[in-house]
Amino acid sequence: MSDALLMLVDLASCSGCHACAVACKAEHRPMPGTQRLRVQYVETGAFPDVARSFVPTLCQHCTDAPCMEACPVSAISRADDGTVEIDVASCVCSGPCVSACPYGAIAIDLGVGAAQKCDWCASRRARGERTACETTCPTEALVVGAENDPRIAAELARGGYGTWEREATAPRVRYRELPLAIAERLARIDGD
Amino acid sequence: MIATVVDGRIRKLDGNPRDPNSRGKLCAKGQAAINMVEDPDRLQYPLRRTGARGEGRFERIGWDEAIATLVAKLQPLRASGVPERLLLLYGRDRTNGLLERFTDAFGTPHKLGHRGLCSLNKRMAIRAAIGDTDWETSDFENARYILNFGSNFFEAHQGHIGMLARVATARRAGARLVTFDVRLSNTAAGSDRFVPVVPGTDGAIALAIGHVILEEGLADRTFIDAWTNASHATWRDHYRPYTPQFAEGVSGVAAETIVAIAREFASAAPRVTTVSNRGTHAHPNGFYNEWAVTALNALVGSIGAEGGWCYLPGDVNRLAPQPGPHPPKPTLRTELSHPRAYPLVNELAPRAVSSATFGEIGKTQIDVLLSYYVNASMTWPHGPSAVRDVLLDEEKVPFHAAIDAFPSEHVQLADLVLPDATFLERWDLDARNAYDLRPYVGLRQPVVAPPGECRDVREILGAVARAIDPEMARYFTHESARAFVEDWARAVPGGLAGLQEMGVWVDAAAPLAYRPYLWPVAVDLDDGMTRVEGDLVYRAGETWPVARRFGDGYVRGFATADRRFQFELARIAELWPGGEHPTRPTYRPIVEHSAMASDEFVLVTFKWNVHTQSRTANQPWLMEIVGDNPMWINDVVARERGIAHGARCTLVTPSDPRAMPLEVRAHCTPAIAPRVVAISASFGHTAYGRTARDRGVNPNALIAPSTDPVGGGQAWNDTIVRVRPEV
Repeated sequence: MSDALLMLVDLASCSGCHACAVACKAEHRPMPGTQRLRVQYVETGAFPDVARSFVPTLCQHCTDAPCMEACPVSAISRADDGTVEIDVASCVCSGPCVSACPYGAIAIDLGVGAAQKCDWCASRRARGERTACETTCPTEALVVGAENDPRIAAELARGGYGTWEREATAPRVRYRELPLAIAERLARIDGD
Repeated sequence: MIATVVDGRIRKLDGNPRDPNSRGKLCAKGQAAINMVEDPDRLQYPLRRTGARGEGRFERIGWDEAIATLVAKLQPLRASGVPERLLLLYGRDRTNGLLERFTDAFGTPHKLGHRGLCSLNKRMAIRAAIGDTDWETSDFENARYILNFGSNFFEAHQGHIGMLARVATARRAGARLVTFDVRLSNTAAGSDRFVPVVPGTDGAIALAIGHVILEEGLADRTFIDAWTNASHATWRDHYRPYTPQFAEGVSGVAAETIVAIAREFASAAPRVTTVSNRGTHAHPNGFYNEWAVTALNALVGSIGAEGGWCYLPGDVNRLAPQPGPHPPKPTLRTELSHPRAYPLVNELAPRAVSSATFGEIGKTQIDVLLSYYVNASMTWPHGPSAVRDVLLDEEKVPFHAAIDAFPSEHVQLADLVLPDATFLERWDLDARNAYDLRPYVGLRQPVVAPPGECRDVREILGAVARAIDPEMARYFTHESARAFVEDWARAVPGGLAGLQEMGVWVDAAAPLAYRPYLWPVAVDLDDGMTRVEGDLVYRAGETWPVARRFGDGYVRGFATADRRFQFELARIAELWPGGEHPTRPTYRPIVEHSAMASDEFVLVTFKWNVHTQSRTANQPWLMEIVGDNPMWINDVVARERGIAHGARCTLVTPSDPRAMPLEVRAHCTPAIAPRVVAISASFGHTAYGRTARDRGVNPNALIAPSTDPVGGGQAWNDTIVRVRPEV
């Protein structure tokens, strides 16, 4: 799977600016009140030794994806590039994927008539463009690329990359400098 | 910015990779500008007030009638020789000279904006110290150490995306960022070190850092002696009383922290810079705080250095002069345009003491108020109270026309409303100070048609000017905004077509703005037009030097009275002969803060990364992220006072009878200093459409007009409040 995609998020560079989240909103136009990508803030410590971490959270494109197993009509599958994708035509909006996802990354969009989530901008990538979030990130904290892409390999070689793993799902989103104490305080993306 | 448009609607906005500041990146607000354009509550047609002023009742009229109505009010002022009875009040002026062309042609000095509410104290300090510009453009990408005094540039600063991107690059390469603030802003959170301070004491900290640098022999003596207007010994003597222990007593920052930061800053010089904003300057001592911060760069010789505190002009009109003819500047000065209490502002940044504007309306007679993209009844100190009262008073403001794209609180107080196009629907050339340190020109062009009958402000004011009289019409000969901008763009290689292709033109032949004070100047002493006094070079008949001798030749120096960085300002002693104000960077304590009772707090305001001051609460994609503004209060203090997270509180200002008490929810957090409470801007709308209205509170109801007496800028962060939990 060395040509499968990964997303690397360097939290040491993330400024918490939400540009990625709004770019995602503009690109995909999810239902009002929902976000496929949500930047979470976690405050720790006591004044004056207080800190705030910024963590962009989105579909983790799990290698062991609970949503795929939960879907009664097999509308969720793994694409050749490793991403977890929802087939809109097959989806019957039955909804078990929503609760099966430990990250809260999936929402039923009745306007579209299907479950919806981050697909790492499949349509943009098909046009040879980068994801909306990566394209706008002012601090270049996000990158999506194949594991064997030299850019990705070089970034991984800096070290410090781990995962936000609520269950043993083997996410394909890797976070740099995400201490366990912060990861444990992250909420579901859908806020439920 | 590049728009992808499908079937006449904006599908997506992206940054233009050729833009030297953004380099293709947009912030959340830029991404959400689609919401702004498509706001269902936008103004779409000219409106005439039908009910009482402020009642919010209007009827639609046609453009011909709207223009004729305004012209009928304006024409008599010029005809009877009292053009100064027009006041043009603006909020954000990105018209690049259009508003000034209009007021100059009309003959009124009253083109007044919000600068005094924004950045005036900082601009005054920089203008006074270096003369060339009123804003720094630090070479962040190459910096090794960045000392941030009260700027929240991760979220809101002039051109902050270009800064943020470069600081991120520098930090990945090992640069350190240290932030002084009263609150853990996102900038403080993203810094290598957050140092909490007592509000308004940044100047004391900067002076103490300078003290350490001078006492420990870490200063750049060569720069100080050659390029400032005082000797190294003078600097050292002046800084001697500002010990780290002194600053600790004032600011709460431990002396050893100050010493450590001073050493780190000096040892990384000259690849070091300060950055500052309202945390430092939005105080009654803001001018001196900023001067002390700026002086740190002179102390270590980082001014103009690679990786240091650089400066270059950002005005598009310098690189691309506008088509003439240009109207003469009005010579009249009134108490409204040039308030006598602010003589240094009147010299360095005239017409900028915004806090004084509404108290003066009525004393200086105004017959017509023309508002452009300003929401004073939201954003001014006492906006919802005293400012609104002035705008409601038909004796003080007999006629009020507002040009805006949105139904703001201020527009509700107009008699005539002219619907503007947004920035994605109109033509302009535009530029900022470029963090690539080379000037550029950018193009703004319509990507979609505006809704209804909205018009480009350039066309609105042009039509008004041409209808007033032939003399005014001379300066507004272009009927369409496009034609004007096409003509204007001839000043740029490639013209409009080139700009439409690329979006920007960068002056690649310009030198990078490193140490511009050392740039050579050709001086011909025998041309009969030049004289030399001491080491200063003057043009014949001029009293302000244009260059100085340095080494074997002549160089630009700084654009000050002796072509040097100003550590001493004799002009202050001349303007205030009573010696009221010091002539060197000084710490001036805020006396009210030291007299606070135990149940009193200093109220400060701030901006979120997803909002502007008052123009984004109509945008659902941003409101989903931050849609409310509770009061930040230190969690330990709140517990002691029985204030629970989310509890309702009432804020009152005991010393200000005009302030309106404010009901607000408590946000208890460790991320704020104990004697401070903070409420963000952007909320508390009573108008501005369905998405904006009735969300959060407007802290400006509590904040009185109050200025730095020298710098003239509003003291936003000094109001003393009592917090009363609801029982």
